Amino acid sequence: MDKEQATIETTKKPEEQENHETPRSDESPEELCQQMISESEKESDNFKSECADNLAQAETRAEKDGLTIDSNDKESLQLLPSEADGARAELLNEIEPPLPPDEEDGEPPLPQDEEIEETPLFPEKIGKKESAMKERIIEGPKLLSKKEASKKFFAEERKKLAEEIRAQRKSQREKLAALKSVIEDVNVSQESMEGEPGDQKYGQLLESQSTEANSIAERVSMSSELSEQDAQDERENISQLIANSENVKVLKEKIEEHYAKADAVEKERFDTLNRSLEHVMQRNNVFIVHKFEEKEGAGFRHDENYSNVSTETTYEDDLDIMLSFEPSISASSVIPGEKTKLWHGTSGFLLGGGQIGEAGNMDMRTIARSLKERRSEDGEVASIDKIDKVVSKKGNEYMNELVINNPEVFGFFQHAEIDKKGRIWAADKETRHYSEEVPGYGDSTDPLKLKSIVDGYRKRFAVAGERGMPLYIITATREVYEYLGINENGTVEIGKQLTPEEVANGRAGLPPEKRKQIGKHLLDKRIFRKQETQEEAKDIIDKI
Amino acid sequence: MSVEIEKYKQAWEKFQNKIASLKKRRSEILENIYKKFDEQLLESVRKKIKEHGQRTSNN
Repeated sequence: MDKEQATIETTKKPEEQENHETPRSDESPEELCQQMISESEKESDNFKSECADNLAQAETRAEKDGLTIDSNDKESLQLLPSEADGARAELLNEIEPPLPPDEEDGEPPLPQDEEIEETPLFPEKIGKKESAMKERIIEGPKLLSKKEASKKFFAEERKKLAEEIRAQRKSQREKLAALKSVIEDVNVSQESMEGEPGDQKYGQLLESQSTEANSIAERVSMSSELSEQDAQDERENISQLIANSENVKVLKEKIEEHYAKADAVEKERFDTLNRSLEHVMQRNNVFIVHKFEEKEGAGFRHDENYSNVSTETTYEDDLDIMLSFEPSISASSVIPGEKTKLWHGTSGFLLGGGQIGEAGNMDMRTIARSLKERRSEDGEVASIDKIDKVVSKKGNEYMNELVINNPEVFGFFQHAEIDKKGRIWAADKETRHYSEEVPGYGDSTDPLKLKSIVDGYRKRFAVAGERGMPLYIITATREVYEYLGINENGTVEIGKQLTPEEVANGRAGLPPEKRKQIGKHLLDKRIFRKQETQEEAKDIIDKI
Repeated sequence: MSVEIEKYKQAWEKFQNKIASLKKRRSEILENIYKKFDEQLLESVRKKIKEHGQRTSNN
């Protein structure tokens, strides 16, 4: 056993010694601030690079000794660099560089023109935040050959088969040697063999066994890890074999079985990959979104006939259920630039991961059968072809419905609309009617109504932001932009536009530890209507 | 020391504590990984011994 990596290095190299001292600066707060910015960058970069080295070392060791790294451990290790980034972002947030003395002490700079004066200041500063979702490695949807699949999924079994082939070859060679000496003896006493019948019999035996041995030789060269030269040697060796064909048959069957198994696993993996949100979004250039119903009552939120949670469940709990249990949900696809319909409600999730089950061009009336099962009466899982047709269909009169299993959240969005002047209004253009005197609507200015819209909008984003979700707005034409903040007059400040490709390749789903923590809190609140749902929820958390 | 510098000092300490806790977690994760490696190797040795025993008894 290789023990060289069995323990963790505890002695640190001098350059790795932690520096808990505050960067020294006797000059000024500005210089101290700059020093902390640069030191923290070095420190977090070092940490990230060490994490990458640690993982690489573990992977090398695993490969060398035919071991596997526990996926949870690997995931946890891969998450650490993002946490280091988060720690640094927090530091930078807290040590914002102070204003230069002339701005700090003097009069505030005057607006350059009237337009600036019109732009209200943010009463709260949100800006762009780092996503707390986990990083992902997205696998390409390439169908592997049987040989590649065998190497990838059944490396251990493949190795054993190769050993069996070698063992058989050795045994055949020994038999050949024995037989050869018998034949030589026969040749020596040829006169006593009665000529032709003996030669003929031996020839037939040689021919049939050599043919079979050649066919195995082809399989061996394809199935083992041998180099071309080794494979050639194998062919030559095997073509010389004269063997008991029973063992050969068993081996052939084993090889066929091995490849059939590898092929089946690969086909299943290929189907799973192609129905994953990451690939569906990229293939079709669509977003997949899940909206929140905020209206209470029959047919709406927490309906006792359809919902598995009680009416006591809060908006915050709804978000937490999604992030923690990743339950099967209904969602819709939207094409950037297409004015497609969506479910009711102003807010929802931009999904970044998960698997598509059923798919239909309109509401399929699916029902949650349990936390991890949602289906319609038919419950037919859509083919990849159908999924692509449904999600990319333009000019849809209705919102389409996709059942998403194990959904992973990329971000949180609220609805917004752009007016002719390019201003973006929270929720919809109605907000403008409460904000301004709009020609044709009379004096619709209503400060109370406007305040309630702005407060609600702000609160939803605050709740989502606290949970580490990046924040976005989605327009009527289904364009998605970073949300930076909302002004008191109901207009929204936005950042960069988001593409489906960025969602497909970005962070999604909370890290496992966080999911567990939130899940346990929800279990304690006992929000589920039925005991069996409570138990299922507990089971989900136990298995994370 | 100015209030500003005190604020910076606290933020820096918080950052250092966070990095130290991340390093501790990394060390625990690595310890877990290598512990599981050892378990896997032991398991494979046990299996081989068992198989050898069976072969011997069959012979």
